[in-house]
Amino acid sequence: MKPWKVSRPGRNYRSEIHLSKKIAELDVILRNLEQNCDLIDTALVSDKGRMMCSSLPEGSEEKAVAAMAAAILSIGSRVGMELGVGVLKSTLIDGNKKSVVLKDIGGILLVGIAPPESEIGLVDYEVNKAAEKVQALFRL
Amino acid sequence: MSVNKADKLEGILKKMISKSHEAITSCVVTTERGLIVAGVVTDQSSSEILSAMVSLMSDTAARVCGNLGYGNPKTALVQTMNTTIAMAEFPVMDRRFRMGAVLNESKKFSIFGGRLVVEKRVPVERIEGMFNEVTRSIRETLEGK
Repeated sequence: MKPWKVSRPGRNYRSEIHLSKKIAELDVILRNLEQNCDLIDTALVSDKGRMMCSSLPEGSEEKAVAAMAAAILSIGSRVGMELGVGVLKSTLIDGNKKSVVLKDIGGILLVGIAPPESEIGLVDYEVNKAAEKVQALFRL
Repeated sequence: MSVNKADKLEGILKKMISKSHEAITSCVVTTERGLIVAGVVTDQSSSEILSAMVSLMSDTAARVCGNLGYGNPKTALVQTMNTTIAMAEFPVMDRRFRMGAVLNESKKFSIFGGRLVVEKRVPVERIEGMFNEVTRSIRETLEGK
């Protein structure tokens, strides 16, 4: 997790402390999610492609991951609209080396990377639980 | 070393299989969409096929009960000559989960000390009691209790 910036004198301390607390809570949600269902990496991304919080390893391209996640949501929504599936809830990309789960939480994307032998049902269940906690945190 | 949820769930299913004295040969737990949450498969069937068939049994049973006006099914059984496929539904945090198991009801014969020994399997009626115990443990594990 990247350390949050220390606030400078003259700035609005309350809003910065409040935001730091939210980041810490998001971190806890992501860590619990990884522990509960063997996800290798997790991240929370805004629908504009900005990284909010992540447990991605050192050296990974956070900007690229965030941008791709937002792009997948956008394309998925467009495809869904064309095929009449309604509001996009989640997307699963199943590969032979890893699986990627993307869950839309009303403007925030929860991204999870799972190993190939993971049980997708358990991942789906725990991702939904984590999504509810994020929703409650941001009152979405 | 902490045990993760996936290993805990698998451990619960393996314990049930061992307590059944090999009457239960395979077991899966799935979500309402048929996605596998945990599975232990010891015979020739694959966990994906078993979970898909368990979902089919549950959905078909729900349609039958719905059309007859009997409410939601709790369990469903499909029996062949030597095998029973059992399905039980249970709630986890307002979501419907299913557990499916394959029971081998044929008797096992062995020679011990020059005499033919017939080992009896656990009767199907006791399997329901095991299912109730196991679904409770699974629910507690998934809900994080």
